[in-house]
Amino acid sequence: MEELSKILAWFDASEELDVEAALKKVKQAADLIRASKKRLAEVENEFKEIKKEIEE
Amino acid sequence: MTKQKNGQTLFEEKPLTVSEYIELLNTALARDEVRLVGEAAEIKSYPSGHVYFSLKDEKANAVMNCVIWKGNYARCGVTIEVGMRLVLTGIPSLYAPTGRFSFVASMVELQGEGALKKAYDELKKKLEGEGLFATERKRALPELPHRIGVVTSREGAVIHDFINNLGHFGFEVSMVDSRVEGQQAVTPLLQAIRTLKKKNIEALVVIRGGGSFESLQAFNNEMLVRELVNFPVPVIAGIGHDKDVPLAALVADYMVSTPTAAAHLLNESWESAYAKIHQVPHLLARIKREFEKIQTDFKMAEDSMFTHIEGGIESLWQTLHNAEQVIALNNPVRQLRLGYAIVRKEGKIARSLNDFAIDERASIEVSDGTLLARVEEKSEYKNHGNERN
Repeated sequence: MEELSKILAWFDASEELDVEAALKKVKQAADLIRASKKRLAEVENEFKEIKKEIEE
Repeated sequence: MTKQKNGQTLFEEKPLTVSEYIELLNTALARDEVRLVGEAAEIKSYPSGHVYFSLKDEKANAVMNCVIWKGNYARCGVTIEVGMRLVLTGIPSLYAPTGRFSFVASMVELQGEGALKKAYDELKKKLEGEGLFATERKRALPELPHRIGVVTSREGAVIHDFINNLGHFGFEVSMVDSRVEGQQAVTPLLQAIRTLKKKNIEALVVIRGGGSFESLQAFNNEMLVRELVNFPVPVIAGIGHDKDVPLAALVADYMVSTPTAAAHLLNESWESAYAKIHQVPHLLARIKREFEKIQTDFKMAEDSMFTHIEGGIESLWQTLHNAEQVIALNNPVRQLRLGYAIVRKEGKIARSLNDFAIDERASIEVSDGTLLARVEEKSEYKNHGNERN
């Protein structure tokens, strides 16, 4: 998430459009988002199981 | 040897031997115990432990040979000295080998409160010196005592007071009757205590009603005091007294003032246990309430924790979603596909008409490649600010 925040900040701060750099950053961000979604889904499932166990 | 007929004593014809006659006399003399008072003189203590002495009645110019055997002498707790006023309990007897007439004392008592007080003070000092009154050597009653030994007189109100005040806790009372009055009570008291020493009891209670200093003398007897000191289970003494506390009470593990107080002392741990039992339902209810409160608190904490985590997860999903949108908006490929193009002049991105002069060359990047172009005309937007916005 920290890396992703840096990329978003980079886009926000860019005044000159560097297409090559922007493409590279987009690719990096897409990878990070995919990995983060996967990990977050795992964490969410884990949490749901724990919650179910406790509530039972 | 003799016959009785119509109240008259008849002598047989056959004469008695001296020994037969002495035996006859001794049997007759031994029928009734006598108490004699007089002043001690001519004392002879033998290695055997027996003590021979005279008891004089100065006023009447009369004297009696006396003896006290070792065991009885040790029991009476008096050291006979010349000039002492003594009260002897015993029987007269003729000693066959010598024909000597003696008074065989089974008990020796001091006469006069002064002498008694002096003996009391001396013994008290001696026992105190041995640490027998020390609080450290006092033993605690067992919790919930059950089998109780009691030494007291069957006569009188004392035993009734004790029994009536003993709670209904299933006590098993072994009572041994004993004389408790005066110095003569020493022997029966010792016998009673020794009887109970052999029994399986958890506490010994020695009780009697109040009385004068003289009437309580048995409880100042050294042998009796030491018997209580060495008694295997805790001793409760409820021996009434006025000023001088009986030494038996001072060495006892518990000293109470009345038989009723002795009974109450034995009741204490039972009453306490019963009170605790009665508190159990209240305690259980309290524990239940505490438990329910903990459960509620735990549920609230659990809910709060779940809400917090769920919120955090949701927030992370939202952050990722936003990041996706931002990245998509900033993706140059998407922009170019939408029809936007990037215009450069000499490699630098151009943003304004002013970046170019007529006939200057520009490179235009579109979604699938780059065009090279020349500026033929410049046309500025009217209402420039509004158009751009």
